[in-house]
Amino acid sequence: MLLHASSNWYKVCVLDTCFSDLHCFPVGCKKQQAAGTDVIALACTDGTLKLVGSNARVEKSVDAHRGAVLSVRWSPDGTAIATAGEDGQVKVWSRAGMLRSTIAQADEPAYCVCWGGGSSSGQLLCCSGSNVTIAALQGAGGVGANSRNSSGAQASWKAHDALVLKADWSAATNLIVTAGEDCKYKVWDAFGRLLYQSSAWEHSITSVAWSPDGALFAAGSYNCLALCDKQGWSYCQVRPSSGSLLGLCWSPDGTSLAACGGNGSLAMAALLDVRLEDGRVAAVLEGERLVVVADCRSETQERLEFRDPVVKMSLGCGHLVVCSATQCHIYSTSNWNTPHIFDLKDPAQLVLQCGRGFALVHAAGAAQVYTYEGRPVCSLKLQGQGSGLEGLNYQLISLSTDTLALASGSSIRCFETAQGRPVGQHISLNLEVKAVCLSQFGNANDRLLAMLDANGDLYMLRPLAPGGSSSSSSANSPTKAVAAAGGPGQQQQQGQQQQRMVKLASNVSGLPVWHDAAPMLAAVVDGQLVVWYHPAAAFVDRDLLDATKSMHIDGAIGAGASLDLFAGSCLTLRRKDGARVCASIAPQPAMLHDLVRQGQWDKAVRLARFSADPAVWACLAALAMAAGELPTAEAAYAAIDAVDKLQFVLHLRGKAAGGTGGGAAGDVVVAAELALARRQPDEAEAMLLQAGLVYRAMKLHVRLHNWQRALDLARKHQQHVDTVLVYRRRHLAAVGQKEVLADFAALAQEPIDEAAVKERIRQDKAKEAQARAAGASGGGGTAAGAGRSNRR
Amino acid sequence: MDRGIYFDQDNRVRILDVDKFKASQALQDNCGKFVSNMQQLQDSVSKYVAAIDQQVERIETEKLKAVGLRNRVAAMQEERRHKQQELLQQLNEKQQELDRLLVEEQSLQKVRATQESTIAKLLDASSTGVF
Repeated sequence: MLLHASSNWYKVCVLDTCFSDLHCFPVGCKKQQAAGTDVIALACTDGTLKLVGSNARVEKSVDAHRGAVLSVRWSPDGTAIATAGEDGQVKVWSRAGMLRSTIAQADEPAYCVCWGGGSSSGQLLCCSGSNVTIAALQGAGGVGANSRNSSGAQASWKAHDALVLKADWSAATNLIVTAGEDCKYKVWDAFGRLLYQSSAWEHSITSVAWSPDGALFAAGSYNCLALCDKQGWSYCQVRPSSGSLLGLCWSPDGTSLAACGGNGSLAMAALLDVRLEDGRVAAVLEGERLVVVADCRSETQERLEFRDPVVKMSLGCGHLVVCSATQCHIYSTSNWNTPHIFDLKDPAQLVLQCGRGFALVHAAGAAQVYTYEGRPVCSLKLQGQGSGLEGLNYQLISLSTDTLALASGSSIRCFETAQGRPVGQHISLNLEVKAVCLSQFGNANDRLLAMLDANGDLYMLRPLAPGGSSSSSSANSPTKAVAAAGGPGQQQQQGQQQQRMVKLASNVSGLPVWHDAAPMLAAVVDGQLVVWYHPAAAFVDRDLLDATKSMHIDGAIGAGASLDLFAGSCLTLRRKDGARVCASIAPQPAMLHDLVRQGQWDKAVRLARFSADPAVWACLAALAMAAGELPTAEAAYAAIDAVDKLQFVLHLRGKAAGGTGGGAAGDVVVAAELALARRQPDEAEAMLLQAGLVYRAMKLHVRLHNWQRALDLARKHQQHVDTVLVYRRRHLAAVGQKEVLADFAALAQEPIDEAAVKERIRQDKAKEAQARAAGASGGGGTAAGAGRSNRR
Repeated sequence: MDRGIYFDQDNRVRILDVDKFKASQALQDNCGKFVSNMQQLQDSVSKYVAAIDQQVERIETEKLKAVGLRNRVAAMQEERRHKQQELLQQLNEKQQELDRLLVEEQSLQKVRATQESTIAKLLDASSTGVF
């Protein structure tokens, strides 16, 4: 952090009383058209709330409290004002200065009030004495017009041993930081659970303020200003000689900080020394306009100077993106001399990078995707459905080469980045989503989305995979699914989504992170580092999921750690106390993914044999099953002692090799059996029907005890109705039950010739064998097609 | 008393008795001497007073200085305590940073050891030609 004094100031207006607090109208909110009139809210010591317009006139003066008004805050949407006074009351006012409600009443003066943002919008936090109280305004919108004289649920707890002087609530991370006269600051979550408590300082802490992106906060004390991580530990302290720092305020881009001191001085601080690392390159923001890049392999250092102060920078995927307020510079890490530069219309709030390009997210809720040559690819409208982007941060948005995922509240939307259209199904969780992360490996069909909810449960799904019922036949099903959202269809889809969503772990801290080049996922679970070498195994063979997991029991990590980077065979974590920890994983799984992608199955088997790691074998088994590579699957299942699976694979191999060495029908049957093993009976049925194997499709449902569907199929194709009835009767006889299904009961009286049924089954099988023999020479297009789609 | 005219020894006419004249002349001389003596005394007294004043002033400034010094000594203790606390805090901060760096170093060492063992394993295996 760099401190410098500021001397340019001008007088706005002169009041007849002293004021204790002021707050400017929130920038970037939607009600800006009306913002011209009342801009600054002032809390005065004579008990009035004053609104000062931009024309420097006191527009309004309301008698707000008995005794002095101590704190005043605009609501984040700019529709209401909250005040706290010496009389212990907290009141909410409309823009026009009309009293809406009294939210809280305490015995001691309320020193501070602040609004909750994000998922806690419509909640107010106030400090009185040593207590902190969270009160909810009634009504969904929180500050609706009908919430007069009403106060909702309250939560109150003792936060400090002495007076709580200041509190701030981050809209981005939903964390609360409080500062007390006991010389400590504490970080809380929105439920009032203590996350961090600082050691006692020399003097009482007089001010705290979150940075706009919620990653940092600043704490001010007597002649002291500290910059702290959201976990609580402090990056650095500076010592301005300005007395007690009574107020702190970040700039909207989070790069500088203003602090006012008790001796009447104003200190400005700029955020410097921001360090980014990616592999061999490290970039450090050394001055407001200077970035120094060090390459540790070639041991060179580059000084990049800019015309304007740097607002955002991002390093990854071999490129450094530096944004100032008006320009964007793109450097390749191999060539620092010729950046691509283009002008920006709006300042960027977030920079997201992926292999092929990067996205800039603007405060207005639009995202623009660019290539690394600076060519715009598409623009996305992220805002919509009433979800504001005030609380947007890196955790809630994720970019991969073809997809962008955005979480708001408990729902997640996906956009494809070629044209900027929404794709995939609408995903919703039961709880608020805390983080989303898209895998970077492969193409759009390989895309996996990891999601973390407010409880710390980690889920994974394939956001772009078509719904379960619509298989390879309908490639455009995702768009259909979006169009059909609503009505009974949605419920059905939700059911399917529940099936396809896999819960990987609970009690996860920090972010889940995908490997940069392979579909491997890492997360900190219960204070241990867990790496899933092949999480997509859950969609192939759920039993393998645990086998592909590797736990790193390392005492150095501890609970509350968060992952930063997962690249190569190296992971970088940030411990709860701020220490960076490196961990390494075996290189074999990444190599295995690489070999499988190239289709070198024999090499993959040799690699697995060499590593002799059950997790690697389990990965290989899942990969081979997904690709229908039966010999490899056989070897892999044998290596991990999965006897049942091995038997199944052998059975499939027998089928595939049956007759004259495979053929079209045989391939389809095997593919369908594999789909069944993936627990996708709908897909299996579609494959069989497409190949005209009605009997097998019917039999599949009979074996699943899915009697109704079996009968429907038989009727639709007008084949084997009596076969279904025979199986049904045999089943009923075996379990000793009466017929309960209406359709079967209606047919119960029909006489059935079992011999004829057997004869027809025999004929069908013979026909199939014939087709197989023919296919062995000809090669069936449909089967190959089905096989290919199966290899997704 | 009778008034008369007197003659002195030079036979000049005198109004005053010669003896008295002589006595008054002696008195005049003595008075002049006295006055000059007094003048002298005053000079030396004022000189003395000025010196005293000067001394007082010096003493006063010295006294102030002494008081200031005494105060500063007293404050110094406090200031030193503050400074000490501040330094302790900075030390604490640095110590925390050192701890963080030590943890990082330790983890990097561990990673290095793992990688070295992996390389050794690979070299060993490649010589025997398993992979």
